[in-house]
Amino acid sequence: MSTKSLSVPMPEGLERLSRRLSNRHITPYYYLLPTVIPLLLLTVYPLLRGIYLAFTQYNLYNKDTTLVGTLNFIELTTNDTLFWGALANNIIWTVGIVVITYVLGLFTSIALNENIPLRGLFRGLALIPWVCPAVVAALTWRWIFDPHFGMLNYALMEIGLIDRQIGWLGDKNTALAATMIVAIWKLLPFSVVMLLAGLQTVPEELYEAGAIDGAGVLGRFRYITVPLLNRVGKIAILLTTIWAFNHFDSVYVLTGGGPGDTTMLLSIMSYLNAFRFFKIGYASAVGVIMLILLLLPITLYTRQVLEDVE
Amino acid sequence: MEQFVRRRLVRYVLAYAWLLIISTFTAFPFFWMLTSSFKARPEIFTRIPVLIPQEPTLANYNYVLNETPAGRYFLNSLYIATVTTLLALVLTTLGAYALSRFQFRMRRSLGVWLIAGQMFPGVLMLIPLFVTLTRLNLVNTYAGLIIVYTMGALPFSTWMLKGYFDTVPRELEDSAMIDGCSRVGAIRRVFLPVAAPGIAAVALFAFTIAWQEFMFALTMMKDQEKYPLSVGINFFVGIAGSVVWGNIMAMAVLIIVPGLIFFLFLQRYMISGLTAGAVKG
Repeated sequence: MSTKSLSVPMPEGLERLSRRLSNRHITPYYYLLPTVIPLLLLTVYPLLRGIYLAFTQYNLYNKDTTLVGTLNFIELTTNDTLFWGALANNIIWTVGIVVITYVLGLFTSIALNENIPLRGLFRGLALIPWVCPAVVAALTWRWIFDPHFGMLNYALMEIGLIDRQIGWLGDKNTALAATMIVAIWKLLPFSVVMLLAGLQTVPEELYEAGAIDGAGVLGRFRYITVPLLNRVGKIAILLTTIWAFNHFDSVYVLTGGGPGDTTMLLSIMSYLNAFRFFKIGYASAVGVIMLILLLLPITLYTRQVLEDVE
Repeated sequence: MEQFVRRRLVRYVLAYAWLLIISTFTAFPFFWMLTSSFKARPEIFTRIPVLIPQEPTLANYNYVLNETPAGRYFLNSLYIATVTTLLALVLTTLGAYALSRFQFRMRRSLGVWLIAGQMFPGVLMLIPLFVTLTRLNLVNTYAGLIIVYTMGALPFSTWMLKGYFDTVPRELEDSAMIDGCSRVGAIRRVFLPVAAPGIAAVALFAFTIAWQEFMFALTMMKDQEKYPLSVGINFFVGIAGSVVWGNIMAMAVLIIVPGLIFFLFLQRYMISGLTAGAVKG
């Protein structure tokens, strides 16, 4: 910028202000404010407000808020027949998904790490569920699970694994497992990408050295691959845990929590309370309980990521 | 030597066998969706499923595009996702630049918040946001959804982009500034072109969030003509009575195609973005 255009002398106060505004200690905030203000308004505020709402009875229509203390929490844990079941479902759902996704992801990334022909094609195929919105995944799988015209029953009967049609999503015994399959399908690409990236940092020489020292395939897997995957593996597991625990979309579309509440998850329960029964405070209390249960994985994840940076 | 070759062969066979199984699992729903969208009704409701349509027809697409508001849903989604992407790009680039280049108070706390901010239960955030947006008359508007999605994309994108910016040497801008550029000029002329791949990953991430999101859209959009695709297709299944799968699958293909195109061209960036931390599915 040329100084001549600024030759009109500025009043002293203004000049000082201008100097202060271009001070290098303030410059970062010009860049940060557009990001930080929306971030505060749209994440910090709702979070605090959501926690506050959990201690109120709030009516969406006359906007009447009454503080009720811990009443919602007491009601939930002592009087609500749904809550403990939903909590148990949520835990089974999350643990099952995390373990299976990790194991499938591990095998798949190990296979993709081999220098085989068509590797690019297989990698693309393994990652493709990522582009499929959860709603579309749920609808497509709903048809695959269809008791009469679905592909799954047909295939299983052809192989001879089952001898009569199963209504996967309508049967209380299979519904939770069926919804888990859809979630695993959607989360697998993430697990594969993370673990593959981890494997590619393992130098080939280590395996050769291991082989020379007499370690078998299993030994090398146990003592070289697993420890070196420790870091990415931890991140993959923590994130899958958090996502699975919070999940809503595909279960809402597949079963809506039924049959007989066997697929009722905490997020679905909270949603239905808020937007079907308009119990805003009560629904927020369910959300707060979810948040409390997630604090440990969220903290571990945040710490891990920061540790990697520093 | 012979033993070495044999071992290698075994490894290949095992790898292929596993990859065949797993890609059947991951890709079959896509295959099924695509082929079914070309099937006429008699080939859909059969006791023995028809894998490849014997008499392929465009009737499903014709019906979906002309007799249902799917085209409208598509444009709604496109509008919402495009504006979200642009907003997210501007905001995250600024924020990530500051985080990467400047020292300031609360830098670490901001970092923690960016990492943890996307992990909170969606429903817990949905309820107060819905209450607030109702007060601001932003429920049932595109603007409301765009605001929510930009917020959803912001924390992680900023963090991911900061990581990418850290790999771009500071000397680039410094030398441009010595040569007489202002900082903004140095960023625009020298820094941004180098940082483009990271920015592309953010664009992909923001677009995907806005294109795929369901829960907020379901709650906030009341007028049918404002539905994005994700809510539209679910609504369509709900009113169709006995589900007309051929039509639904044609609609599903319409939803997936833009994502698929992005995926094919930007797969590399997506992977680098994912591994820079993580991406919300």
